[in-house]
Amino acid sequence: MVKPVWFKIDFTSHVPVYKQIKERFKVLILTGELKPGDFVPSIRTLADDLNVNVNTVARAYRELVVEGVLEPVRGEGYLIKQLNGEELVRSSIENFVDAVERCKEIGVTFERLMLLLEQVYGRRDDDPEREKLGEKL
Amino acid sequence: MILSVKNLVKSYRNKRAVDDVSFDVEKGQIFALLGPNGAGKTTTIKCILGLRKPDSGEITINDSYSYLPEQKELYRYMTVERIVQTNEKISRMFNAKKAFELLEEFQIPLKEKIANLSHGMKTLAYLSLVLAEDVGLYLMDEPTWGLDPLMRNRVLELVRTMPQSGKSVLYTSHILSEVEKIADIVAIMVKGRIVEMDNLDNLKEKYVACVVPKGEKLNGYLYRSTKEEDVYIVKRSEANGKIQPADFDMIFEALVKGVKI
Amino acid sequence: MIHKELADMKLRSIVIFFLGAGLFFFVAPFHRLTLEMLNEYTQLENMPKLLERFVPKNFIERLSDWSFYIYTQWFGKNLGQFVPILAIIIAFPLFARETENGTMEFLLTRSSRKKVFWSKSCIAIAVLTVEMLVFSLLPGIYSLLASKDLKYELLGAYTIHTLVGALFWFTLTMLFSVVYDDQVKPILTAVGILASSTVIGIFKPLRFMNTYSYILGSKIISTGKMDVIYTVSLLTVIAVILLSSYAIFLKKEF
Repeated sequence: MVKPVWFKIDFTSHVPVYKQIKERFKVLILTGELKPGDFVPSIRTLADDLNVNVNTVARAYRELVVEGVLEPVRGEGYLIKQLNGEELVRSSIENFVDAVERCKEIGVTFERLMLLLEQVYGRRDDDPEREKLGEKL
Repeated sequence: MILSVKNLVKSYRNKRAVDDVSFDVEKGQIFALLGPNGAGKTTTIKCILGLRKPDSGEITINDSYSYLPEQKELYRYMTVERIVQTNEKISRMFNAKKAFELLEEFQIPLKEKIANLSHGMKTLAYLSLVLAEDVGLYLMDEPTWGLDPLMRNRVLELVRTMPQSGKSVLYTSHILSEVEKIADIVAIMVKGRIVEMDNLDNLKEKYVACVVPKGEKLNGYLYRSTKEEDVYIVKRSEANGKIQPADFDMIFEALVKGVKI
Repeated sequence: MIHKELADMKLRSIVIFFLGAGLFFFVAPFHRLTLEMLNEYTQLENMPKLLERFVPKNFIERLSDWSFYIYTQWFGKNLGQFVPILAIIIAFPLFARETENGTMEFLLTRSSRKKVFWSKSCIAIAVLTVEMLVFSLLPGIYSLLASKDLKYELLGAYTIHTLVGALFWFTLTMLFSVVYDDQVKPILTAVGILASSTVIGIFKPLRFMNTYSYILGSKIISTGKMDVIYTVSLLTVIAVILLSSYAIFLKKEF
């Protein structure tokens, strides 16, 4: 089953179109709209739907395959790969870094971000969850 | 490789309108030649087509081609319908049925005389003729100039899908937003020279904006000058100072201004 | 191509046809009237000396002959005077108009320069030839219909002088139409050369420059024969100009 995908590309953004496509896919996966095992639109279909150059979509798909987000299936198209823990962590961290950079740009201070991190992870010292994740990081 | 231009030089009265220009267009590629007015884009295309004779350089075209000129002039006394019929008689690769379909899509009245069409409608009529030719390479000089936004998008959409049938497009424009939608390769031409040529996505990542105190020089292109600071567009590898992302608009403007330190 | 070129020339060809036909009908029906008028002038006691110079008595007598009248007044005046102008009108926009308004790019990117040049030239030459032949045949047709006795021996020579004269001014103007980028320059240049060559021809050694005396057929009426040397020379010049125009067109920039 091919899941339809549409989003608006910002052509004037400094972010190249192929990157926007990649990011959007990752967001869709994170929010659960695209699940592992779902087929995504063919390169041609997505290019037509987004009104984007075919080669641009091809590049986005190529890189998503390399990054392990998409998996090409002979004769069928591309599907969302079952993300293993490592890849999930990697893409989550990538999003986190982007978000931090954006905060930095608009002037959010380091101290404030640290505060937020502490809030999210609970108290610094004795939270058991935090310890488990901390080892893996 | 559909089109190859090597070291093209063309001068008028001792001034170089095209100054050692080289580029290739591959099959199924959309190549945008961008630049301000007077940069030499039209002269380049005309030299490729043999309408003007280059001073030096090598031009190779490996496929059939169709041309949309900058001045979209047709026989004023003919009706649109008549022009299609005339085109059919003169050109072998012309598909009149397709032309009529396009004319209908662009809402151009068939029984109207060319003289009575507005500039935008004339452009759309000429486009219908050009796009109805079944060729390998479409050379278009300012294809959307003078079109209303709706028609402009329709035309861009048509151009966007051409690589899907293996066709290549070389077009010139000075409207950046269009280029970003459809171009594979962008060449920025200023004063007869190509100052930057790359895949559009690569271009966007290649450059960043650097903000430095006024007077401090960087190896890049000066984009803006405020009271206290200078903003340069610089290659990512040579970035310094306060770094910000640069969008294509900024890169283009800086390169065109060409104040390279 | 043919269809389009003919359509481009439609207006000019029609105007010229009616001009020519109109001019003819200012000559043919007025034989008797002209004779009467001229006889009246010569009866006058105080005929101005000037008039005597231009209209010698002998001439008026000869004019009473229908053939002499039609040859000298049609080929030798009404039509003859206009032949260069008619040819210039057909030729001047042939290339210059399309260059000026930009449609030359439409043609050149769909057809080779060779094809464009020769289609345009040949079709225009054909139109010009047909019109000149029609004008040359008018006296014959009119004579038949009006039961006038026309001596046909001179018709061939006059036709050739008219046609070759027309072709000369056509190719000369067409050269300028190829060279220049706008329509005004070819017509001004051609008319300028027409005027100056006629004037220069006043001087005895340069008499050959005046193509009018060839076109108006003064040699024909005096010798009864076509001027072969001048005809052949003109044809040679025509060929040279035509080939030069072709060479220039091949190299021209648009």
